[in-house]
Amino acid sequence: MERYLKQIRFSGVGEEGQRRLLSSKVLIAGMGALGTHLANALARAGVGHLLLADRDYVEKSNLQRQVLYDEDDVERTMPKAIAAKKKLQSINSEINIEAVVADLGWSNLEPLLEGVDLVVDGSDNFDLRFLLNDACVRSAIPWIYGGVTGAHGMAMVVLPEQGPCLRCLMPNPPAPGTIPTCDTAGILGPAIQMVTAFQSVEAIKVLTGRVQDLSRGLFSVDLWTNRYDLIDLSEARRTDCPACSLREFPFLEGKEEMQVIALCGSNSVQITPARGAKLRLDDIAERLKVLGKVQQNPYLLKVSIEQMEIILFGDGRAMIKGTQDPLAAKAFYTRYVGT
Amino acid sequence: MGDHLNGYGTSEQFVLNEAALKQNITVFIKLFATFRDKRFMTQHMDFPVRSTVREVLKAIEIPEEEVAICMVNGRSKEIDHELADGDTLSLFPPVGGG
Repeated sequence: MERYLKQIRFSGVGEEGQRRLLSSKVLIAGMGALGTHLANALARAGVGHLLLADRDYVEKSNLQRQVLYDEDDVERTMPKAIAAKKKLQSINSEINIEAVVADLGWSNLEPLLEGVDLVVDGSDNFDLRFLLNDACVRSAIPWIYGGVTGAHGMAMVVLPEQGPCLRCLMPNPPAPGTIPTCDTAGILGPAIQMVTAFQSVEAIKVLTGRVQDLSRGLFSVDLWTNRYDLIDLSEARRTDCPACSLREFPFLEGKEEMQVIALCGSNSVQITPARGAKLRLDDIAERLKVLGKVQQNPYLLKVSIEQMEIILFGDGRAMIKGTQDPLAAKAFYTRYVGT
Repeated sequence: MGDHLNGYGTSEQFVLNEAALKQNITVFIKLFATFRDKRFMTQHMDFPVRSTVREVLKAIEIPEEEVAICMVNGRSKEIDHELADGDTLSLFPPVGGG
């Protein structure tokens, strides 16, 4: 316990709290900027069992904010979950860390939740967050949402049955193309640190059983204009919430999943979002023009970014050219169109 | 409430009559994250009685589909929710990166 002496001395944790942390299991869903900060905090705090899940590999543009990776990981194209596990075990060899290199979806999420006490959100898209909400509400597992774009951040704790869930606040996921993403709006490292500080301390409270000390609000921060808000959510649980009141879980049943199909012989992948959308192509073109030359007509826009080309139609459907890998195409769509 | 005021009726009736005479409602609008860009952080604005969130969005030029969270007095509401005098309306875009 020597490693945790200073944390044990803090009255909110104590020896009993530390023992609880050491016997806890947490799933970190997504190991990008949010996920690496969360994993770093929880591994050092002594959460006994961490599951790190991510579909991606380390790229140079990640190093500005994704705190567990280095140039060697970029050089070797290491999967993020593997690189993070290696780094974290060198920080804390006494805890159990599992790397899951996978695209979390309705078909593979539930087995991963076996024995999990808490899920923390390290994702970069709302498709996954709505899936996490369905799964956690159904199995009564607490989860902690976090999101950042630019210098803005938001976070909230979802305690199933005891407060609002994500769908109490957002009945439906945002339409594709309406969301500024890190790749179009940019992202500041310290905004990630603010949001993950909130998520990590709330995680420690959940795991040590200090439910009475949990934040019952929606944390919202804008670091560039110095605004810090905690919006009271004590009245926010909805009696008509599709998830936590009506117990409908369409995301978990695969009814709300993006369709991603590699097209034979054309080195391209077609993406069809779960819901048809009416995109504002002008707005999306405006956001993407900083990344590459955008060609546009009333029906679609086309832009090349790095080695790939996206042709995005007004209904949200897209053709991604330059790859046959559905996962790479999906990641590309999430980064530049947003889901 | 309910005490007689100079024999002209109760204070409760007085309040109701005043509301009925009012042509406008005042809504306290709080914007978050990117919605603040080129707009404001908080502002009191007047709208005709029976206005919904939709009318507010039109007035401040926020496309409906860009609203992720819409709360009236701390409760999540739909875009067609009818606002009342004195309501606090909080609007958030999706904050989804990470």
